[in-house]
Parts: sequence; C-alpha cells; structure tokens
Amino acid sequence: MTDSLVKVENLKKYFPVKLGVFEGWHFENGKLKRKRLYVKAIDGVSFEIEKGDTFALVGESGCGKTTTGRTIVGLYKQTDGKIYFRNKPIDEVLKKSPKDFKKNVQMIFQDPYSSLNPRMKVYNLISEPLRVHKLVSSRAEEREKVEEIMVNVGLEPEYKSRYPHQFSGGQRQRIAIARALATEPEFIVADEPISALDVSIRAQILNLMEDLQEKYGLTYLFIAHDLSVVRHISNKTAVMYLGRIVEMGNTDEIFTHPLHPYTKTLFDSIPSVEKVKQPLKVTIEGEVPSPINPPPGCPFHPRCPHAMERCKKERPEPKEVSPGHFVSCFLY
Amino acid sequence: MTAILEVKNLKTYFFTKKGIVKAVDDVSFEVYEKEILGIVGESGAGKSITGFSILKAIDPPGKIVDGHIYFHGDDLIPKSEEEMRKIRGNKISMVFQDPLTSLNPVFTIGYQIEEAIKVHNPHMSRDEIRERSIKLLKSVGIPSPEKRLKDYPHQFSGGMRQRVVIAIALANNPDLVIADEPTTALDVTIQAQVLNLMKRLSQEKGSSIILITHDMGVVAQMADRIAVMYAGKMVEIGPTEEIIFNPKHPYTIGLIRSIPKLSGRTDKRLYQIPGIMPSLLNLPPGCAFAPRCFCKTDICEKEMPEFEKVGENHYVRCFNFRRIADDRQSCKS
Repeated sequence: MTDSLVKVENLKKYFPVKLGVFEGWHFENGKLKRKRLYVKAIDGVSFEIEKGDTFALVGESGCGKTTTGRTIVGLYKQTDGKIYFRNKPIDEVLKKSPKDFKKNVQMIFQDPYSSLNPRMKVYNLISEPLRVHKLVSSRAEEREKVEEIMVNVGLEPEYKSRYPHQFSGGQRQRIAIARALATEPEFIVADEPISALDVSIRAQILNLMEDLQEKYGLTYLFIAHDLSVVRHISNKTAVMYLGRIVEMGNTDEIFTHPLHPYTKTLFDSIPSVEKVKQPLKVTIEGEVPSPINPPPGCPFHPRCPHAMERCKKERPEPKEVSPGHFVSCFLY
Repeated sequence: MTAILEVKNLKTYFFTKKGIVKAVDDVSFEVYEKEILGIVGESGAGKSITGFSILKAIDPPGKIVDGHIYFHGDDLIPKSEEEMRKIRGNKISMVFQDPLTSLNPVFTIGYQIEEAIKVHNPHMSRDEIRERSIKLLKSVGIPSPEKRLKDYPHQFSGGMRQRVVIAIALANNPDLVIADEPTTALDVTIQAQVLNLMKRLSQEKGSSIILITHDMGVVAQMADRIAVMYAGKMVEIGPTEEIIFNPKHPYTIGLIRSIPKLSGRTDKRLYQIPGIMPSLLNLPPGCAFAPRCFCKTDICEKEMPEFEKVGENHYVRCFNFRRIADDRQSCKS
C-alpha cells in the first residue's frame, strides 16, 4: 500500500428526505409500500491524501464537499464506501479507540461566529481539548500550553479570559484554529475557513495556516469554493459536482490544463482582478440539478455543451489522462 | 460625459448609546450616464450605507447629517418622504444582496412585479401591466414567464430569485440602479449569469449602476470606475484599469496584492495587511488607515488627507502616495 494518510474509497452519503404522512405511498404487487427518497450528497467519491499535502475540494454549494469533509472526520456515518486513516478503516478505529482518532483528526469550520461557544472564555475553549485528551497533567502545564498555542496562532495571551464576542472575525478564526491545534493533530479538515472573513483578513489566516503546516507537518483537506485561494494554498485539487469528483490532480496541472467541461466553466466564470474589463464568460446556462433525483449518466450532461447520447446513459469513470490527473468525462 | 448623480460631502452618522458611529463620513463622488461605478470595501466600510443614503432610506438612529445628493442636478436632501417615494423604484432603484429576504414570501412574484409598475404608473390598465411584467421576466431570462407569474418566491432557485429582483428593479426603466452585493449569495456559475444579465440590461436601457461589493474580481470585470472605501471614508477613486494596475492608496495596494492569483503564486507568502479595521466608534484621529499602513508618517496620525488628483479621473486621499509610488523602500525607514 502507498503511504497515504487518508484514503477514501467509493464513499457515499445519502440523507433520507422526510416525507409527509400521506406522501410516497403506492401499491406494488397488491401491497401498500412506501417509497423512500434520498438526497445523494456524496455519490461515489474516491481519493487519497498523502502526508504533508494540502488537498483541496472545490465546487459550488450543494456539490457535497462539506459532507465529504464531515464524513471523513466522523461527524456523519457514511452510507457506503470506506475511509482509511493511516491505512486503517475509520469505522474500526472509531470503535476501538475513538479518542486516538479524534486527537489526530480535527476540523476548522466556516463560520467562527457560530463554531465557538459564546459562553466559554478563550482559555477554556483552547484548554478543553487538552483536558479531554488528558494531554496535560497539571494546571500550570495547562496554562503554559494554552499560552503557547495562543502565541502560535497570533493571539495575545493576555486575552485568554475574554469571550468570543470580544474578538473580530479574523481573531475568532484564530481561536478556532488554536482549538483544532491543541491536540497536535496530524490531519485537519478546514471547511471554507476564510469565506466568512473580510478581504484584508483572509491573507492573514491563509498565511497562518501555511506557517502552521510547515511548523507541525500538518496535512490539510481544504474545502473551498474560491478557486484563486485553492490555487494558492493546495498542491492537489479535486473538483466536485453533484456528489461526484469530476476532475482531480495536481493543482498546477488542473489550473493550467483543465479538461472537464465543468472545470473549464468554473474557471471561465470566476471573476478575477487578472481579467480586468473582460466580460464575464457564461459558457453554461441553467443551474445545478437537485441531488434528490440526480440525472442518470454523467451528472453534468444537462448543462454540458459537449453532451453526447452516451453521457445520458452511462456514468463516466475517472480516467488517468496524464500521471496523477484524473478526469471523469467521455471526451477523454 | 454628464453626471446623473453627484454626491457631495455626504455624512451619515448613527447616534447609538455607545456614541456616534460615522458610517459615511465626507464622501463625494459622481456617477456618469450609462456607467458602472464599483464601490469596494470591507464590511463596515460604509459602502452599503452610502447606497442607502442616496435613496434616503436611513432609519433612526441613523441620520444624514450633512451633504448634498444631486440627482439630475436636483438635490434630494431637502425632499420630503412623499417626493422620495416617487423616485424610489422609479428613477433610482435597488437590488439587495439576499433575494430571499428582499422578496415578500406571501405574495406571488407576479403581484410583486405588478405592484412596482402600478405604484409609479397609476393610469396603466391591468392588461398593460401584466404584459409589461411578462416582458420583464422574459428579459431577465425566466422561462415560461406567463406561468411563473403565479409562483411564490420559494418556488424559485437563488439565481432565479435574483433575476426576479432585477426585473422589479428595472420595471420602470430607472436611470440609476444601486446593486448592493447582488451576487454574493450566489454560486460562481450563477453569479456570472446574473452579472452579465445586469450589464446587458443596463446597456440596453441606458441605466447607470452603482455596484457595491467586497469582491475586487467582480468590479475589475464589471465596472468602468472603482471607488475604494475604508472606515467610512472614500480613499481612492479612478478608472478600473488605473485602480487595478496602478493603485496609489496603501490600502488599495494591499487589498489587490493580498488576493491570491488564479495564475499561480508569485511570492512565497501572500501579502497581508496587518491588523484589522478600527471600530467606527473610536476612529483614530487623522487617517483611519494609518495604524495598518506601511508608509505612515507623523502627519497621518494627526490630519485627514484631502483628495489629490493623480491621473485622469484618478483621485487618492493619502499624504504619502508620491513616496509610495517613487520607491516603496523609502517607506520602511
């Protein structure tokens, strides 16, 4: 086996749709049956993250990128498929030694206004994981450790007895990062860590995340919708659409040679200061279909300018077009 | 080029229990015929309040304390609420960020579009109004508009809802549309569709747009001119190419440099502006950006600089822009 830190194989996560009392009933062979509907948030996703990588998942809202992140850290139980952490399936790890897994896998959420308990002081927010995982033996050690972490994420240790509402958005995200770092994890899932922040603060948090990665040898799964941020921070990128990965590979390769029609569309439609006064290109019309009844075949075919008969029936499998660059499209 | 809107020394303050919040402080700018003016800045910079002030839609404890807003040469400030109502949604209209909250959930979208037309055209017949609504929905790219008039907002997707809001804003062929973060709630592929639609329709109808956003990329591609706001003040204004390629104010410079590039990284680390925007309740004396500036001098902490012309239509509010332009190294000493 390769030395991948996290490996995801054919991961699926379906959420049942709640139906009204009278909905969904029908007769089948003379028997009354009830139809079940599912939101297919992730529908067969596979990838590997090597140690030290920053692996980015990009896509529009509803494509399943957040669900993927949450399933990997164990916040959701997968419907099907396997997730391996250090080559061990996480179902088993979570059963045998859940604390060990949770110590090594942490998460940073999008909105630092709702991810921090407003009634807890910064000191308690950061020391909680230390206590839960019994990483410190005395109060003095705990205090020292909290202060050390605060300095590492760029917070003044004097502020430790303040509450989250006394901080700005950027500082709150620093607290959230400090909390995630407290257990000295190997792997951090960062779910849109900068999208709720102001433009001039984003660069600060991105730089901090890079510095910490270098210092502690962290591996990131970076979930984002902003392509320029992905280009900057990640070395591997996977583009998701309607619960599936449509293209995956080295970030530089994906950005210089995008192949999947959806990836190309994304690049065309993102506004950038590098495209001054160029009209925004609209290469596709329409919107993302509902994940409750995803179109058969390739999920992108209803919007794809190159759709063929085959795309409506068969589902394209990932194909390696150049080393490490996978595309799920019949054009290649 | 003729200016259809002239904002002069506008001051909108909020009188809160904690003190006076100078949300918009001495802001002046013009909007020319058929142009798109982008206003960029962080949250709390005063860009939305500037937009609301133009329509005089400021609720207490907020108040426009000083300044003039000339619309076609006519000052809006002394106008009564009744006179303003004839302008709002007619000559000047607004598109808000979140289409879910700007549409009324209990009325059909047909009712809401027709209302916007009826209020300003009391003599129009029902059939005429209906016809115009259908035409409007068609022009914003909503398929089978006759049927969709009977639908409620929740039956539309986010992008479609924003198209409806744009249709309402354009219902009376306004001279000026104030679009406050019109695509922030939308996905990128939908954002491109909606922005293109706005640009095309404004060109067809000859309306000007004030595009308020925090996304530099959006204004770089959409706007003819860009105004940059910081802590309630406008710090730089100029043609789009000038602002993006030749920014003069240290805040604009920092803002543009701190955006990661789609074409890949140039420096190892991303440029970052240190610190955060000060609270509007206790702004530092002098230039509000001074505490974060890489080129501040003693005077910056005492006085607020005035606008200086640095190029054709390009103005900047900074004491040290010449030093910054000559040699950035000299700032460090």
